This record gives sequence, C-alpha cells and structure tokens, in this order.
Amino acid sequence: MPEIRVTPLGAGQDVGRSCILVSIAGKNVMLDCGMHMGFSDDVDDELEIKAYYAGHVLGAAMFQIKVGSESVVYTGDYNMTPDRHLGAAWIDKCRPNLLITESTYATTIRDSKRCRERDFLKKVHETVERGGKVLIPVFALGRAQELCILLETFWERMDLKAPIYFSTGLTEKANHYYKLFIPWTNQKIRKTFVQRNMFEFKHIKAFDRAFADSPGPMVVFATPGMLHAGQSLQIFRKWAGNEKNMVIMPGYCVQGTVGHKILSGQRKLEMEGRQVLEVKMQVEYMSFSAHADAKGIMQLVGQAEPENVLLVHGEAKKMEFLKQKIEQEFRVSCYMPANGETVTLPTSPSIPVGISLGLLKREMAQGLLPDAKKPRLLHGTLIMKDSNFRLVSSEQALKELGLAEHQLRFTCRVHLHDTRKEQETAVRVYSHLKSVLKDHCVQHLPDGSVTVESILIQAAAHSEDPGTKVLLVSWTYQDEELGSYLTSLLKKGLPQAS
Amino acid sequence: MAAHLKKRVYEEFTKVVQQQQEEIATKKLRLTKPSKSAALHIDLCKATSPADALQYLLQFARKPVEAESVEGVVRILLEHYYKENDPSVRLKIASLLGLLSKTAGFSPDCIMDDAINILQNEKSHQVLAQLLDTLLAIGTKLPDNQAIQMRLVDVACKHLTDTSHGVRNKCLQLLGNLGSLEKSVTKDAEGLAVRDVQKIIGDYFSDQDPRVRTAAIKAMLQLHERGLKLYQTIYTQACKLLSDDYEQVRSAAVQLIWVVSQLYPESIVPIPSSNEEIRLVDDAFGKICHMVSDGSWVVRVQASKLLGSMEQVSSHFLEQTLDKKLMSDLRRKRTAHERAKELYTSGEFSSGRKWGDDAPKEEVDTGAVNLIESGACGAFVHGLEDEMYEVRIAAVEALCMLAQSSPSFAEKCLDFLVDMFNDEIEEVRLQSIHTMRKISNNITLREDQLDTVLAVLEDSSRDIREALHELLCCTNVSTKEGIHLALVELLKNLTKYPTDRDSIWKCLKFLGSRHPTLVLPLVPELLSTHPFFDTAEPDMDDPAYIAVLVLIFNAAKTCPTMPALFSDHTFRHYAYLRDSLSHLVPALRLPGRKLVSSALSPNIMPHEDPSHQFLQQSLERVYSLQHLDPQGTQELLEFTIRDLQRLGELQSELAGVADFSATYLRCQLLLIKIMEETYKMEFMYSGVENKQVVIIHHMRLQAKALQLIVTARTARGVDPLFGMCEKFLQEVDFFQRCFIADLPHLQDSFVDKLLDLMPRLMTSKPAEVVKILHTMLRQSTFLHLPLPEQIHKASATIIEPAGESDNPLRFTSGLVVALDVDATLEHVQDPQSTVKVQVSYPDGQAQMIHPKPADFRNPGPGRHRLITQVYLSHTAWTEPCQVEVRLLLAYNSSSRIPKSPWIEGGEMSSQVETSIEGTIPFSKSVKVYIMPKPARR
Repeated sequence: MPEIRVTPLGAGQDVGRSCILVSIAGKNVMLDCGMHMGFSDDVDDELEIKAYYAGHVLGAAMFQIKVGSESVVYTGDYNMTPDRHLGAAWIDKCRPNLLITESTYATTIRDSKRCRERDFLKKVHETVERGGKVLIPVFALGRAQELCILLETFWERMDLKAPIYFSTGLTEKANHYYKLFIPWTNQKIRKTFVQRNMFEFKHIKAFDRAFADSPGPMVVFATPGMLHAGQSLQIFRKWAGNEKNMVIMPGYCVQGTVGHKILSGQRKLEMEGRQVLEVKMQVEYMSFSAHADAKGIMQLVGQAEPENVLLVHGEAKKMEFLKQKIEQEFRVSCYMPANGETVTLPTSPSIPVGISLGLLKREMAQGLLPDAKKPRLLHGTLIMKDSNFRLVSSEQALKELGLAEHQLRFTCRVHLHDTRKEQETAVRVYSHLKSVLKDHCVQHLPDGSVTVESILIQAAAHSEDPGTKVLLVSWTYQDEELGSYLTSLLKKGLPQAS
Repeated sequence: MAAHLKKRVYEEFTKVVQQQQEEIATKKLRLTKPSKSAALHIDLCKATSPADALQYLLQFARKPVEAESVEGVVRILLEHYYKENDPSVRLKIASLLGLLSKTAGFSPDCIMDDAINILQNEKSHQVLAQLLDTLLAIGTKLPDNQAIQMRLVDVACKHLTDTSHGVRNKCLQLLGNLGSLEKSVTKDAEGLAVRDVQKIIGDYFSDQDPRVRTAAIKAMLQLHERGLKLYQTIYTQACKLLSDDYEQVRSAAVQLIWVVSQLYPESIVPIPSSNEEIRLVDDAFGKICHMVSDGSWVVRVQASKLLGSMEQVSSHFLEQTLDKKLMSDLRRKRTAHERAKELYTSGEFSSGRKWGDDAPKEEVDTGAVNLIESGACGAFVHGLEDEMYEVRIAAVEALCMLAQSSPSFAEKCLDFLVDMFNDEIEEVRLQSIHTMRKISNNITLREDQLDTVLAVLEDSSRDIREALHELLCCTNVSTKEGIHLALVELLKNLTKYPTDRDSIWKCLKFLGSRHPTLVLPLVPELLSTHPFFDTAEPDMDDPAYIAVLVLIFNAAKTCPTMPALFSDHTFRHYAYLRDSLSHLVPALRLPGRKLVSSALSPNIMPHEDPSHQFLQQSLERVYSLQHLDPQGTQELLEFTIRDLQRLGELQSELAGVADFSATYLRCQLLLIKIMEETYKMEFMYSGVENKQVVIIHHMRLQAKALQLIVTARTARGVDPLFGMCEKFLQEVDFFQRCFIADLPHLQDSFVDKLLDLMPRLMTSKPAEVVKILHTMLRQSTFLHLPLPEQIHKASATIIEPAGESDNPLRFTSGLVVALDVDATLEHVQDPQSTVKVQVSYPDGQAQMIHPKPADFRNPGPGRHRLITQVYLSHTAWTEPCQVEVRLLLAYNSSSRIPKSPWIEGGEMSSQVETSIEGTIPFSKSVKVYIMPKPARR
C-alpha cells in the first residue's frame, strides 16, 4: 500500500524549532532543516518541486513536493494578508495529498490590518509630537522593512521632521537585498519602482550608539525583536525611565524575555547585577506578525483543496482548536503530531493509462451530451508492458499481440407452442419483435430468418412434436446484453394473433 | 447547390485536377460579374498558392464594398470556398463573409443557405468556428426574422457536440445571441422541434473545457441581457461553478449568480445540510462575498464590484461584511442567533491588538462557529486590504453604493473608509474620500474619526486635500470640539499650503452654515474677544483671519444671537468681506445696521423669491408690449436689460437666468452685433436645451439676412451678391433640416415666413431676394424665449499667475520658459476640447495653446480645474514687458447639433468635431511680466 509518512523532528506542536521528515513514494525529504553551505545536494529525477509565493518575508516560499501523482505541500511560514511591502501568499488548486501548514496563530482572527496600522502611526505620531522617543524592537528581516516603509511614507505624506533610525548590521544588509528583489514585493512598490525604489529611504538613517542620548524626539528600529539582548535592550534600558517615551512590540515574544515580561504588565525588571529597572515608558503591543491567522490558514486550505492537513509550528492547545475547525469545515482529516511522532497516510495514487486517440474519439462520438456525473462504459483492451499502461481497441490489441480473433457465439433454443408453419412463426416473431424493439433494427430476411441488429433468429419445426416450433437464437459475445434480453422476451411466448 | 456539392465531393477525391478546373471556371464568369467581384475573382484565380490567395483576400478586405455589389462578391467567395482545400484560405473567406454580411444596406438572408450548406461539409474546426461566427453576424443582422433565427439555432445545436472547444464556443455564443426568447414558440412548418435554449446552454455548464463553460455562462448572461427571464434552477448550477478550477469560469459564474439574485431576490433557498432556508439574495450575497477572497484577483474585482449593487440584501448580512469575527452561522442563525451574538462579544478569537488574549477560551459547540461558509463575514475587510489596488477600489465603490442605500451600514462602514484614507495608493485614498463625501448625508463623524480624517489634510497631494475639503463641506460634526479641531487643522493646512486658500474658505463656509449652534460657543475664542478689554484688531488681509470670519459669518446667518458677540471691527470687516468676497459671506441681518442688500430674507424658497417674480414680470412686460412704437420698444428693452443685469449681480442664483434673458433682449436691440452674441449664448452656458438653440440659430439667421441686405445696399456689383444669396439660401435649408421638429414652435416667425416663400426665393434674382427679405424682417414678430430649467454661465478665473509680480520672468530668447497656469472653470461642458489658453505678446502676436486633457481635474459637479504649463518664447527684448494670458472657449456651431454630416453647406467633413469655428474669451486676462534676454555668444 503506498503511503506518505511524516515525522516532525522539531516543529511538532512547538513554535521555536523546525525540521520535518517526509517520506513520499519511497523518497525521503527533509523540510525546513537549514542548509549546509558548500554542500550541493542532488535532487532525484522523479522529484518535482514547485515554489509558491508565501509573503512572509522577502523570498519566502511554500513548496509543493511531487512524486508521480502523490504530492505534499509544505507552507513554511506564510502570510495571507498583504502588507506594506509584500503581497499575500497564493496557491493554486493543486489538490495535494497532504498540506503541512504552520499554525502559529491558530486561534487568532485579526482585525483589519488598517486599524492596526492607523493605531501604530497615531501612537508614533503622538509620541513624537510631544517630544518623546519611540523604540520599536524588530527582527532584522520582514517586520523591520514593513514598518520602515509604513513610517517612511507617513513621514513623507505628513512632512514630519523627527529622525528615524534603524540599527546597523543585519537590517542594513537586509535592506540592500530588498532593494534588489523588487519583483518579489507588492504591487505598489513594483509600480512605483521606476520613479523611485521605495527601499531607498529618505527619512530613515542608520543608527549610531551615540544617538540614543541625543535630545528630542526620534524613532528607532533596533534588533532583536524580543528585547532579550543586544542593541534593542540597551536602548530600552536608557529610555525606560521616561514616561514620554514609548516602546512598541510589533510581534510575538517568547516567555522569559524582557519583551514578554513588560507585555505582561511587569513594571519592575531585574537586570543582571541585581539592578532593578523601573519601566515608566509606555508599552504597546501591536501584532504586525507576518503569519497567517486562523482565517488565513482556512483560506489557504480552501484554496489548495488537500486531502489531508497536518499542523506544525504551533502550541498544542491552539492547534487542537484549529484541527477541529478544519475537520468540520472541509471534511478532511487533520493531524498534529508531536515531535518524533509519525503520521502515516495511505494514498491511492492514480495510475496513468494511455488511451489510443482512435478509441477515445470513437467512444466520444457515441455520447451526445457531456455529462460529468454519469460514468461511461468503454470497451477496450488494457495492455501492460514495461510498467506502461495502454488502453487500445481490441482489434489493435490483437494486431499488436499477433493473435487471431476468436468469435464467441451464444446460441439458444426457445420452444414455442405454435401449430403453424415455420415461415408463419417467423413472420409472427418478426412482427412481435418489431413492435417491442422500436429502437433496434429488426429485419425479416428472404430466407425466412429474422435479425435484430446482429442477432439471428431462425424458426424450425420440432422433430417430435409438430405443435411446437423451435426458435434458434444466436448472438455474439459483444451483443450479450441484447441477446439475453431477446431470449427472455421470446421465452414469454408470442402474443395471440388477433 | 447540388452541383456545388458534387463538385466538392469530386474535389476531395481528385486533388490534382483541381487547379485546372479553377482556370476553366474563370473564363465563364468574368463577363457576367460586376467589376469589383470580377477583380477579386481574377485575383483569386491568379493565385498559385494558398499564401498568394490569402494575400489577395487581405488586400480585398481593406477596401469597403458597396451594398449593391456585396452579393456578387459573396458568390465569388463562395465559389472559391468550394474549390479551396487550404483551411487557412477558407478561414479567411469565412471571416470575409461575416464582414460582408455586416455591410449596411445589405440583407444577408440570401447568403444564409450557402453558409449553412458549406458548414455541413466543413471538416476543419477552425473554419467551422469562423463559419458559425459568420452565421452569428447574419443572425444579428436579421433580428426580426423568426424562421432564420430558428434555423440558425438548430444549426448551432447540431454542432454543439463538436470535439473542438472553438466550435462549441461559437455555437453557445450563437445560442446566446439568437436563441428564441419565448419558450413556447409554435412549431413551424418544417417541423423543427422547439428547443429550450436555456436548458441546452445549461447542459454545457459542466463541459470538460473551461473555455466552453465560460462561453456557456456568457451565453446565459447574453440571454438575460436580451430580456429572457432565466430559470431559478440555474442558481444551483451556477453556485457549483463558483468552485471551478478556472478563473474565467468563476468570474462569469459570479456574474450569473448576481443576475439570478436580482431576478429572484425574495425566493427561498434551502441551506445545504440543514433544514433551514434563507432568501436567495442573501444566499447569493454570502456566496459572492466568499469570492472576495478568491485566489484570482480578476474574480475578486468582479465580486467586489457586484456586491455594491445588491441592495436588497438583509441588513444583518450586510453588516457582517465588516466584521471578520462575527461567526453567526447561516445554518443556525434563527435558532442560535443570540448565541452567536454572545460568541461575538466573548471573542473566541483574539484580535491581535492586545497582548495575551489569544489563549483558547472555553470550548464552543463546534457547530456554531463556521469560518468559511458564513461567507459574508468580513468580506469587505478582506476586500479593503487586498493586495491589488483594483480590488480595493472596487470594494470602496461597492461600500459607497451599499452605504448610500442603508444609513445604518453607512454608519458602520465609516471606520473602514476612514482607514482607507491611509492607503498606499493615492487613487484609492482619493476614491475613498469621494465615497465618504457621497455618503456624508447619512452620517455624523465622531471626534476620533474626524481626527483621522483631518490628519489627511497634511497630505502633500493637492488632489487629496481638495477632495477632503469637498468632503468637509458636507460633513456633519457632532461636537463643538470637532468644529474647533476642523478649523485648527484647516488653518494648519492653510499655512502649510497657501495655495489651498480658496478651497479652504469655501469649505469653512459650508462648515459654518451647517453647524451654527456648534460654532456659537466658539465665537469669543475664535475672534479672541475679551469681556473687558479691547483686543488688537486683526489684519484684514490675513487669509487665516478671513477663514475664521467666513466660518463665523456663515454660522451667524441662521443664528441671530451670534452678532451680539461681535466686536466693532468685526462688523467693519463684515461689510468689507461682504463686498469683496460676496460668494463666501452671506447677507446678515445685523442689529441696528442698515445693509445695502439685506432686503432679501434667506428663508424664502427660491421659486417664491420676489426677485424671481420680478424677473418674470419684466420679461413678460417686454413680450407683451412688443407692438409699441419702435422708440418705445427700444427704451423698454434698454431698461429691462439694465434691470436684469443688476438683478443678476445681486442675486447669484438668478444670475444665469437674468443674464441669459438680458443677452437675448440685447440681441433684439443690436442686430448688427448679433453674430458674436449668439455664439456666446450658445457656448458659454451649460444646460441650454434644444428649444433655446433653435431660437439662437433663428436669431443668427435673421442677422445673416440683415447682413445680406446691408451688403446689397452698399455693394455695387451683382456678382458677389449671387454667391451670398446662394449661401444664405443654403443656410435656410440647413436650418430647416436641423430643426424640422421645432418648426411648429416658430409660428409666424421670420423663418416660418421665409420657408413659405422658399420656392419663390430659389428662383428669384438677388435684388428681389433682398427685397423680400427686407419686408419679411420688418414683419417678423418677436419670439418668446422659453427659459431653460437649469442654466449656468461658463466662467473661468485664473488663480495663477496672479499677475502681481514685479520681477520679470527672465529667459534666453529662442528658448522656452514654462509658465504655470492654474485656473478654475465653472460650468464648462467638455473643457478638454473647448478650453484654450491664449497668450498675447506686446507685439500683437497671439498664441493659442491647447492644454492636455490630463491637465483638467474635476473636483466637483460642474467645476473643473485647469493646472497646466504654458510655454512662452520670443525673440530678445530690450526691456521686460507684459504678456497677457487669458482663457478662451472655443466653439463650433455644428458640433452642438445632432446628425451633422452635411453641416454648413456640406463643406465640413469628418473633422467637424475637432475644428474650431471661433473663440470667446471667458476669463479676465492676467498680465505676466517677462523678459527674453539675448543669448550670449
């Protein structure tokens, strides 16, 4: 029995880690495992890989892995809502056997993105207007660029003067790549690219450590995003004491980080060296996370129409909820294996069979109207040769195999009680059949026999009983249906002549 | 025909002989056929290869064929068709047949038999498809011939089973266009079974080829368009197509569903897998909403657009479109409606706005929450944040339409529209501002919403700001803080972008007059008056101060207690502004002050207005007293004109009517100047109806007659008179043809008499004609000018250049300098083609510049704004000098009249639309100081 086996190694019911092992049609594929520079992997000839736009970060992709007719789609991280710099994830109706989707926000349905953007801009604008400083901890890639574009265009439209900085290093380098890969960004950036590359920021400059102490309002993007170390934490410590300032957390924070603590409302933080930091600045949370929300996940499942769904990258409790929804909504089975747990899915791969054009056309010509619901019977011969299937007409099959055609004929005798002569009986049979079988061609031949299509009926006198006539019915194997119908009809006897 | 068939069969077996046969055929035919077809025939026979033949056919297709010779050409083509064995040539012939049968004046029924015949013997699918196309052309040409339509439909049905999608496509198209509309057409003599076209087309909804499926849906839509009522059963079929794999099918299916939902909005459909039922329009609405999150943006645009016109949808479905979270399930909406509501408020899903609210709450009955099927949920939220701006614009438009029909929805969608003001694409922002303006009658802005709206005032795009001013003009604000906020932001806007001055003043005018009670408590603060101290008198020329005053004065118009709060200088400023900016400052009844023009009470409705009565009376006086002695008439007219003009100045709403009438009266007086004046009347006013145009033209005709007489009296020779006479008669003839329908209204007029005498005039000598005209002009009575409903005078104001600068614009002679011109145009119809900029140099040289169509913006109905650049150039001057810039209205009297190919004695051709007959200056000229310097060598 062919099957697909999936074993999450890091991503099963877990948010932080990744790596999934998939066995499909005898091939093993390791997903989301990072890559080793310097090694080049040979990809099997039978393995087909197709990438779909995922919208999560620049260059993010969902992959379809296909062997023969069996396929698996692995989404990786994706985003179904377009943002200021990237489009939305998109997939065609590829109907894979299995869709492995992330489920970070399995229980969230986000509000309109625009409200969040407006809130964000309003908060930043207000803080800057009253002379405060805004810290936005971000990861180098993705949100940083989105928020940069958002603020940049806002600054430009409103003609604001307060400086915006982003921390050097990774972000700068990332911006460079964003500038290069314009075709992967959203409609607006692609369209205006000819006049101006949106990633060449006018208002946003590189940050220097010394700027943190300079007076006056400013906005700073700093890494890392969860305030657990590095530059963002340094700046946070400097600004935390002033209530005019603000920190905006644009995404998810893992438990134990400073970000998580302040979001949970903690106002006094213990820093290393027994120092206690009092947080007076405003703390705001704004979900700018570029993961699909529950509705987005459902939307993707709806678009791809998979046979099975498997959830990874999420918390077990939340996944359970989404799993239920998916099963109820799409009536497909949904799995959420833990790390190391293997899910086995039996598949029934379709086997392609080649059909000869002549046969197909002949069969097509018989049916007049297209009707998808009605299965159609087709006569032909299936030839299996070198793992190659072909459906051809029987004549051709005979020819190819060098066989002579055998005729199989059924004959049957029907006794009729009739005292008249054979010829008269034949005439009666003829008129009876003619009246019953209106759609068939019934003929009375000069030699006294009756034909219905290719079925021959002859009447003969019984050798012993002159009052009984014997009807000889003979038909070929192909006409079995009609033939047996005829015999049963004749066995009922002829109607009394009026 | 039988001969043809025989030949065709013969050809199929003996292909080699064929060429020679063709040669023989030429000789027989050449003599009998008309020249055009003969030429084609010879060409085709000369062709040695299919490529050659194609070339000839292509050449032939470029030239038009007269209706008389079409049939001959068709015969030749058919002749060749039978002989031709190259499918591409046959294809071309088939397409030519289609083109030819469209020729005006040719009745294609005679070639239909042949077309159907060749169709039956054709093997190539492409040619078949083309032939069906030809049949379609023939069928559409003969819409009244039932028998032919039946026959064509029959042919189409026969070929529906063809294996090629192209053929099936065309068949369906044919069925859609020609299928009989009544189901029970009596069987005709040939025994053709009556076919149920809808059923046949419906069967192809499940064709294997997506193109055929699309064609089937389109054919169905075509049937609908032609007036056939579609069956309700189609709805279920169409719903299945919504999940088709191909976008064009889905897109067409969305349309079909929409059509059915408009046909049967109130019928009840069952909800699958439950025993409940809902209205069809609601169900369709849900389904189309679902398509707003389709994978293909073409479908999304289509779906978003159609949502806007589904006004019959129930309000609770409508309101769901704005909320993603509301999980009220269709299946359980009646039984568990309350539960769904509770679910919404309890927030099973987190919103992503607050930290930590995404922990799964208590388990809900899984049947109650349905993420996908409750399609309407959040459709607009999705549409508005779509990746493609086409979808967003469509969604905004749909919101607008739905909000206009449902005030409660308008209230709800406000937040979303406001959000769209921050869209990244300017077009979308602009569209949402316009939308908001359209629905603003239904809504009142909350303070926080106003805040967001006002934030956009800082936008650097002028179009956006002006659209926003328009919006604020008709916005309702709920609190006095709101008004204050709006004023502050507008003033901020004014300092940041001083060019917005006029627009902001206008905006404040409306804001004031809409919210008098809210402005009242703000007055002391705004005027910075103090109960005890006199404050400094503000600068009268400060635009910001004027802005504040405009707001206050307009509010004071309906709030009589307000003037008590004014200080002395405010009253002085009022008097000044009332004079200088009378369009912005209304007449106020101020206590203890006698005002020049305050006699009019603002409450009186316009049609009861005494000034309007006065206008009517003075006009009637003129019309009734027309048999006075000439001296008296003239005096009366002069007085009336003066009265009307003054009236127009005083009453801006009557300005159009009064001015129009006055101009007409002046025409009576000054027949010599009539040419210019009539042109002005015709082209400077919008809203002039045909009735008036007739009279204007009539006037012009009289003037021309007068001109003729004058020339006859003064000119010595007879020769020029001949020409003039002839031309005049031509014009009379033209007038008659153009306004034949209006002639009954012109009883007893000049032209009426003139037409009576026309036969005599035609044969008379010029001297006699002049004599007749002379007497007729004297006898002709005065025509009553009916007043049009709506009449507006076209006017223009040049805002920039202001003409105040003393610094000359210096540039090197021979090169060009770009001068920015910014002007507002009021009541100009089709400004793109009529408004020109004229630059006159001191040396008398004048230049007319045609601004680009894109330079005209349309900020509101009847108003246009021209923002363009004019290039100036001249040879070197010794010192700076002024050039004059003004706007001209170009006119062309023939363009106004419908059906105008033979206008002006037939001398005009197809260029009529573009040519300019003359121009009328309609703006004050502005002087610009320029200085072309000699180029340095």
